[in-house]
Amino acid sequence: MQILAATERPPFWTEQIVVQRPRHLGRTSTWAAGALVALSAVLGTPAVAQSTTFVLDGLTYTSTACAAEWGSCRFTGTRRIAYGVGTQWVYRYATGSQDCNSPAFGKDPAFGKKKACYATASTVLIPPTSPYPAPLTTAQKQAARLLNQATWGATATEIARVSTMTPTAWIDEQLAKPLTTPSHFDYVAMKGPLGTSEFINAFMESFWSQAATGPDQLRQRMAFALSEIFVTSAVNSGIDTQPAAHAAYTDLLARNAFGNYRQLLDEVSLSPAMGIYLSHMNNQKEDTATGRLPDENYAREVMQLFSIGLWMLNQDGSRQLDATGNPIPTYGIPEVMGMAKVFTGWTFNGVQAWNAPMVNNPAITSTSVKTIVNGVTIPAGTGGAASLKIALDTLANHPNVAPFMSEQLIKRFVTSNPSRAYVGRIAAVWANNGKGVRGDLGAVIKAILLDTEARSDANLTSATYGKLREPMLRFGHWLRAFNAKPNDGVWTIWNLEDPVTSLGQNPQRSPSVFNFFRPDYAPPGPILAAGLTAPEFQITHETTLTGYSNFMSYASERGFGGKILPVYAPYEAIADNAETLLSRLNIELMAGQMSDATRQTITNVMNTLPVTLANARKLRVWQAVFLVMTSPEYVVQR
Amino acid sequence: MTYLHKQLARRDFLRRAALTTAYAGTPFAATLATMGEVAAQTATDYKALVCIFLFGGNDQSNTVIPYDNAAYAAYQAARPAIALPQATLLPLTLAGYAGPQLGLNPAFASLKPLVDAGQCALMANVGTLAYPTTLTQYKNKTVQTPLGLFSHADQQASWQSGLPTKGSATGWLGRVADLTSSAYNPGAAVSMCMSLGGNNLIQAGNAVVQYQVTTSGPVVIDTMDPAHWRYNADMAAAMNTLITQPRANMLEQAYNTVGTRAIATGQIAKSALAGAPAISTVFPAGGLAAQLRMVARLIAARNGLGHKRQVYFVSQGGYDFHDMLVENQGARLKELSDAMATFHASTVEQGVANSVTTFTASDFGRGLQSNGRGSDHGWGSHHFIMGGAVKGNRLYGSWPTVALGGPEDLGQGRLVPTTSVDRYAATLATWFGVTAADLPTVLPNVTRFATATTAGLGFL
Repeated sequence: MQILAATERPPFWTEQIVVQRPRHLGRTSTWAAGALVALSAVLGTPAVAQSTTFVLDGLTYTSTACAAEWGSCRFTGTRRIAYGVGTQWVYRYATGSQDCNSPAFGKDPAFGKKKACYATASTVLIPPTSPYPAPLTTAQKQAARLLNQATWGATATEIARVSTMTPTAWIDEQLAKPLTTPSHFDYVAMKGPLGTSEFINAFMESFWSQAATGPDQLRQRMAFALSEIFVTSAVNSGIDTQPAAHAAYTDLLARNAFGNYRQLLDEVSLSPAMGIYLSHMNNQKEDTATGRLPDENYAREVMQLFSIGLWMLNQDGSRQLDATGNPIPTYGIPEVMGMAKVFTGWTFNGVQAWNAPMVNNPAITSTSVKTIVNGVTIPAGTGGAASLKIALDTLANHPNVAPFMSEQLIKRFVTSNPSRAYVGRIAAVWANNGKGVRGDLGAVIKAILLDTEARSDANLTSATYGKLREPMLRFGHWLRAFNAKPNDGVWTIWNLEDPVTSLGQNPQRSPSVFNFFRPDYAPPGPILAAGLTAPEFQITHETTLTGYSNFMSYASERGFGGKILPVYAPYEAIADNAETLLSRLNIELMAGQMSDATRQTITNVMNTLPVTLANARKLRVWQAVFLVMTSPEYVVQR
Repeated sequence: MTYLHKQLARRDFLRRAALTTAYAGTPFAATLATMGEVAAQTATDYKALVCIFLFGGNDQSNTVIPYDNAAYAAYQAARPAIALPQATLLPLTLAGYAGPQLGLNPAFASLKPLVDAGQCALMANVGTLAYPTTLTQYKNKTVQTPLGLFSHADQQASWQSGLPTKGSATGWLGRVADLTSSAYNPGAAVSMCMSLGGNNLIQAGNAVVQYQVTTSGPVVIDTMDPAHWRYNADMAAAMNTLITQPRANMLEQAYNTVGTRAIATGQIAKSALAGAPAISTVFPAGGLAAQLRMVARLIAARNGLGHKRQVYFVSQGGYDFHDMLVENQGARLKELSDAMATFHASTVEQGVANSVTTFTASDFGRGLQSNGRGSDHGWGSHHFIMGGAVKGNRLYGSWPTVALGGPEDLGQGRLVPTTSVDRYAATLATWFGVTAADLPTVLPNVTRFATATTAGLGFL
């Protein structure tokens, strides 16, 4: 038995020979396992041993002769090949074949002697040179979990930083962060005269720039959440080619993200983008001569979607029921018609003045009596601004708003099925932020994220806890985690809409005012049967699951659009150690929640790629990132 | 033999079959499945239902319009700012119709010949109803009405579930598929219910799960597709493990349920399509036409899919014309008309025109009264049924008074429906193969409107 010291191994031996093997052909070698050339005739007698045993790094390798010097060994898989004779050997790992000569090994271990090559009996794993990972700490995992809930995705640097902070401290830091500049509106204006961009591409660039790199991450997520409740869209819309409209509207949401709901409701109602999207801009008062009535579109949706919802609610978000067990509607046609009159007479404050609130034109404003919700009547003769104030005060003070809005915000950040108690706790903060103020959005989002139902690790193992990450959030996470940025600073991510080739979800382009998915959607099957919801499943089916997988298999390797490229070098550096690479992906993508089974499955794939192959490290990283980001443990955020 | 006779003959056969020795040993009190199987054994025919859902609530008053002078005048007086000019309407000559002459929106130039030829029928003033409801009952609130009336999401759900007063996990086409799948499509890997229009409620069954297809066919995960350059056997095995394995978390499990379906059915559907006869009918541009073109191809692939019965869902959005009604509804209806007419031609080409019935549906109709530029949410609406089996060039249901203050007008010209979705659906389901005994399983409220045997409206 030959025992060799570790110093026999030249320092660069694992990176020496490039073995080209087209990876798309898979493993199609025709050499049978263990088929080695019988060499007794070649080696002569007394021949070098047909087999011998080596020990290296504490590992024992039983190896069989596979070629004499200047021959070539052929085998399946990755073997450790020894070249030499007697006590003088050099080694390398090779896949598929290995030429048996000194140039191929980079050195002649036994000058002047007849040498041979020996291959290990079966495929071996190349011991990694990168260190094994330290165990993930609770602080890291909790920080990553908070960052995934409250930002566009955790990153290594942010996890390291936030794991030294309390959640309260981090949230307070975020609440104090100023708006990212340039604003979306200023960015779009810099691209040229208003309205000259193709579709709303200029807005898309600004959107992704801020989502991926904006320091005010909690504000970015809040603006996004609000955009899924107070929806405007370029689809089937009069603002389909107006990037400035979408920019101004998104700025509005960001500006009000931690402000007061009453102010948000005011600005949304007077937003020209909203005025066009829900058609109340230049809405005319009633005309008894022609029978014309005011357009009811915004009146209906401001109640159904932006404030009180359809049904009377208890403060925990459950529906109130009448004596016969039926839910109680919050309004009927008369209230809609009354509210429709409130939203008459509002118009642009200047030509295409997307960034300014609409102003009132008394000539077309209804001043007849307006009966609105909650039994409130706006007296005849009340003008536009005064009517609007009464109407929006009535809506904002309606008891439904607290639970209706709180539950939706919880669903956007934390979990699709908050307990009624959780909703009740947040609704209480909505009703009173502790200083007697109603509708304090900053206090509400803080309470949502600090609540035990968001922070407690006990929920990590709950069968009903969590939310499916919507496609845009998955993509945003990838951009952030892997530092993907455009080399010229222009985020040309214009179109993610195709469900087959892309994400099937595009900013400011939901199919209707009901967003990409309704907050109460449940996929048929056990979730629906259990009375639970999973809103994001409304856009999750064979086509979008497949489309997302194919999009990620391309993006994880080649980035987006040929110019938004991930920075994988730190990951490639540790890619020879599957465990270390996966530990990083585990904490950065999954907040440390990767199961052993998933880790093993992905490790097995990575180990089919020995690092002696060209691009093996890159391949390992792409495969690991792709498999992690398409696995259910990633797609569902807990 | 006419279809009416065929239905009677089949029912007669079932009754007689129970009494004869042809199926000796089969008890008369058969299970639903057994009854379905008996029907399937005798029926070698193929049938497909195609639902075109118009999202947003199509304005029915500018879709089918009074053409008769007096009736037109009342229509125009009710919505002067958005009335269509009488001279542009396409006048209809409906058989067996005694009301004021009607015309179609000029956008229907391509569909009108099908109406005239008896291949397309009109359904008037149909809508979601909990019970038959008169205007007086509605105003006095003496009859239960659908939940969330005039709300898009709620009325879409009511139309699709057939259960307007409660939430439902299933839709009526899904329940039809539950009853007929094992009998007509035994062993088929691809669901009877195929959707080109995304996740929907109407095709959700208790057992049957709808299968999503794109307008370019079923998609397959590249890394798992041996024919794709990105294929890798080790990756494919890993992905298969990760996205098909059972999961303890319910949301993860739901994701893997989709993954399992995507993998299992993707290749099968793809091969069936590849092996199907080509279709030469040229479809126009546009999203709805693209969806119906794929439906035509899937119909052509029915043998490869193992389907004797198929249910399709396609959709068109953007009908919520509070604004720009006259400017924009026409283009949308033209897209609808052209896509429908072309689709019918493709079924003629394939020789299955008599086996494919297409029908429209929408959240609701709209008020006759205008807001100056458009109309607001209504209730009863008009729809189309098209196919070789349809008794077309007729109007089914009751033509409402198209004027303010009419007997169906609950206010602002919003119509209380005079025909329920239940009976509209019952007619389609019965033609498809659902027996009278099974009908209440598909439409639990149908007997509020008619008996199971008389629920059909007669257009099939």
